[in-house]
Amino acid sequence: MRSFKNQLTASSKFNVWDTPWFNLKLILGCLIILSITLMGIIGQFFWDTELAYTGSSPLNLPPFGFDGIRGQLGLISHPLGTENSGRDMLALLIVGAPNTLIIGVVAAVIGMSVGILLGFTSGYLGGRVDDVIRLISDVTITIPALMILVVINALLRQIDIITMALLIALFIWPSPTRLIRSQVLSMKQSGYIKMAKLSGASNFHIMFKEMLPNLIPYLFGSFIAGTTGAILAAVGLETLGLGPQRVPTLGGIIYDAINSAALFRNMWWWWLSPTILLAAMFVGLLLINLGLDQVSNPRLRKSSK
Amino acid sequence: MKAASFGDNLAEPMLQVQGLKVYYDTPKGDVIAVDGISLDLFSNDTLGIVGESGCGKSTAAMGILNLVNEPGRIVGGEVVLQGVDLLSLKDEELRQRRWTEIALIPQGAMNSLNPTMTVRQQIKDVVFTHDNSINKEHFNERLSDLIKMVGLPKRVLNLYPHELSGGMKQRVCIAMAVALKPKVLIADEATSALDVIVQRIIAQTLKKVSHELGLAMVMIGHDMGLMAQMTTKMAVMYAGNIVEIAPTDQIFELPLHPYTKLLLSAVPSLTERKPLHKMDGITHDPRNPPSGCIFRLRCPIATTLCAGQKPSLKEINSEKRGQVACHHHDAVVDMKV
Amino acid sequence: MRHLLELNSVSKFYGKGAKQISALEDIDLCIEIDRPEIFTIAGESGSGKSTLANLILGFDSPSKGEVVINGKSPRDGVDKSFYRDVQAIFQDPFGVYNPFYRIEHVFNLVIKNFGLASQGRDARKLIEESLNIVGLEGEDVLRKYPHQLSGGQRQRLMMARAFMMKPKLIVADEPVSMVDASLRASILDVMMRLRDEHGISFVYITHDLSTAYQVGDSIMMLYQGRIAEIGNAEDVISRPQHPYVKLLIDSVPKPDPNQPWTDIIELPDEESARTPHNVGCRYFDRCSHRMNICRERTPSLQPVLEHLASCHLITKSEK
Repeated sequence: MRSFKNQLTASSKFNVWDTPWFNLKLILGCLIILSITLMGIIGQFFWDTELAYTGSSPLNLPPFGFDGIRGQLGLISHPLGTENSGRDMLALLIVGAPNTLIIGVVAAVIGMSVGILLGFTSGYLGGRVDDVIRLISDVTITIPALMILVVINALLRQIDIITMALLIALFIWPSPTRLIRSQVLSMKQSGYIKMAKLSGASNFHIMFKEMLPNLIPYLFGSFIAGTTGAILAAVGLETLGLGPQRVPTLGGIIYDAINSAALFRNMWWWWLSPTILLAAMFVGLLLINLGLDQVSNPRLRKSSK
Repeated sequence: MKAASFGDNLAEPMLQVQGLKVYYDTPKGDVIAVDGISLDLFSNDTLGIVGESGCGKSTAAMGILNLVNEPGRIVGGEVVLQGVDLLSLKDEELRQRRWTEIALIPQGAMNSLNPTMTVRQQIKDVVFTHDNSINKEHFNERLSDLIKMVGLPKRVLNLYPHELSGGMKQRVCIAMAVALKPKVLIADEATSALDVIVQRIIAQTLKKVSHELGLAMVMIGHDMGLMAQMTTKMAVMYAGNIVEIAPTDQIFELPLHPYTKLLLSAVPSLTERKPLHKMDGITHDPRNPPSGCIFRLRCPIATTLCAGQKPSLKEINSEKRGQVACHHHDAVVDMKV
Repeated sequence: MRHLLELNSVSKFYGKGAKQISALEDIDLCIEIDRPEIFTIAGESGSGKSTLANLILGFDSPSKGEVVINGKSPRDGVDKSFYRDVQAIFQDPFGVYNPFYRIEHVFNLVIKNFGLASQGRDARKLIEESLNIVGLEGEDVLRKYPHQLSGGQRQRLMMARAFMMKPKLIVADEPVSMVDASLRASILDVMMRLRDEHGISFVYITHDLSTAYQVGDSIMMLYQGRIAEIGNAEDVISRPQHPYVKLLIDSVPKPDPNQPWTDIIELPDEESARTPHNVGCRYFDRCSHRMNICRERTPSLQPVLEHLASCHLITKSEK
């Protein structure tokens, strides 16, 4: 026989923490990315970043508490070990992680701005303008980005972080453009846009005061996706040795490690820590993305029970 | 179509609902969606459940089929179908009975047809999920009979939902619901999105199907005109309670509950122009129902008795068939609307 | 005397050549400026009534013919001055609000764009006045978000917004079909009061014949883009002459179990019933009284009883 929970449960269920923004994935993801960012910003006050320069530390030291390739012991002054050129691992990470993040964020911001501009124009005006913008964005998406970037970067001898971000942005912009265009197309049909027209609203008002505020959740998601994609492209290039040479980047560290046969020499600490940090970055970004999904799509939320 | 009237039917009811209660869990406390409703349904009966939106009629339908999902939960009651209480069954046992013994055409069914499957494939899906003992030949025969019964041409079987009009889609849904010849059919707002003439055809179809299969049918809706045409008895719901349940002709000739009378007076007529009767809708906070009678805040003839004691559904006397939950039902006939 | 709303042989076609679909054909309509009325346009889905609404509001332009509102045509420019004369209420009480803003945004936008009042207290007073007409109080609704109000309230707010502009004409496109049945009367009541007390005319578009009968002064019955019957609402609905209109009215379920539908009706293969014939009566395939002439010649509107209907049976009976 089935038993029923008969009694009425009263207001005790009401919970300030019940808003969809406080979901586990989002919080965890933000924590991860925040810690990595903080590490980059504050790290320089706690750890001597001069140690990221070559020759600043003893060579090839294993992390503290481990045995190295020639029986050396790790030192506390270099807790994550050092690499081939006498650079301290921890210092490298502290300087390198933010660089990688910056490339991702800058590329995503540029891509998004272009996306908003072109997406609105294309979706709202329609006609020829729409056809042209759509053609360009569709073609750009099909171009293999990494391949082109490899070629471009190989041609440019020196490349700095901002240039890299700009180049990557060239391939990031079509996605937000298409997203915003399709949202604008569907919003154009909605009742409140018709109402705005009947209320004498100008096109500018309709696009930026009526439509744009409703796009904010999509913009967030697009931004995170763009950042993830940009970091991926950046790391891809860096690991091939095509990234910025003058400054440490996570992918660059891995490139150096592979190039110096760290795998063969069993210097696992060289490539492991940047890899873990990169993995953490991607996981964090993914969690934020999933968490945002849960906010915008009520059906993905767990019930309060 | 006059069916067996109350008290005259000596056979066992096909479906017996007793004290069904469904609560909804909300951040600010529980809401009583269905507050202990009871009804009996006999074969060849068509029961109409009518009420304003938010009165709990759709929730009641889900409750009867034990299909209530979070944040709702069934809190009490019995739903006895052919001797078995559906609320006490486990998932697998329930699944065996759904569609084969009791079927539901939910609200918006015609928009929930699978757009990637043809009509034939969808009906096949339904049939074989619940009864895979049928062989292919037998199935094809059954399929043609079904399509004919709902008045659709054979070529519809090979079409996709987007190629069908609203009325055709709804008839496909009816065919799917009766494919396994259930004993009870529940149709929730089966005609609400349809044009007037198509609505009439769907109503016709449902009547025909019900007659041919000897179904016990429950029709949920808010159109009193449709109820008059389609049903043999009616249950009027207000805020989770059945306030009156009686044969259809009696509901229209002599409503016993003030709310029933108000509902009837609000139906716009096609023959007489008179001032439109305005109504308020369910006015109380569902988390905080009034003491005593649930309807008293809107009732023109409420008294202090109504605040103190909640009236229960009672048969008045054997002449006036039907049951009503009102302390002042005899004053309703003179009530001004 | 200028007309308030005039449609002269308005037609709307989509596509070209053999595949052309005519959404509306030869629609003539007239509302007088000094006699406010509720002009009902009734028809089922596919009849063209929503297209008509779009044409009147200037969201689309006719392929043939002309729409004139208070002497202005949308062809000359759909701008603020055009919308001072005509406003609208739509079917979906939720989609018409931008979910991002509170209710007051809707009113403030109109006041600002049309200079209806100076900001602050005057504006608030104007809003309050309009809200009271529909039975609402500012402090109850203005600071709320759309999802916090009921469908009936939202629809009444739309009427308040339209009223605030004091237009001469309001197009109400299925204003009550998505509102709970018990609340419909209060919204239709507002419509009638606006007509009687403020001289505002309505184009009331609906598929619900009962409400059309109750509130309409004139009615136009559309069938697949053409006028089937048009005239005084009471006259048309109580004494319909066109076979389609007769069937439609007969199919409205009567709230009386002793008056059931009598015949079993069937639509012929529903697909072909929607294919427009360019010549001949559109209702030919479904009509039980069809004759050869109905296939060959498009019937035109002719006087019958006290209104007009387009059916060859009328000419036939007069011979």
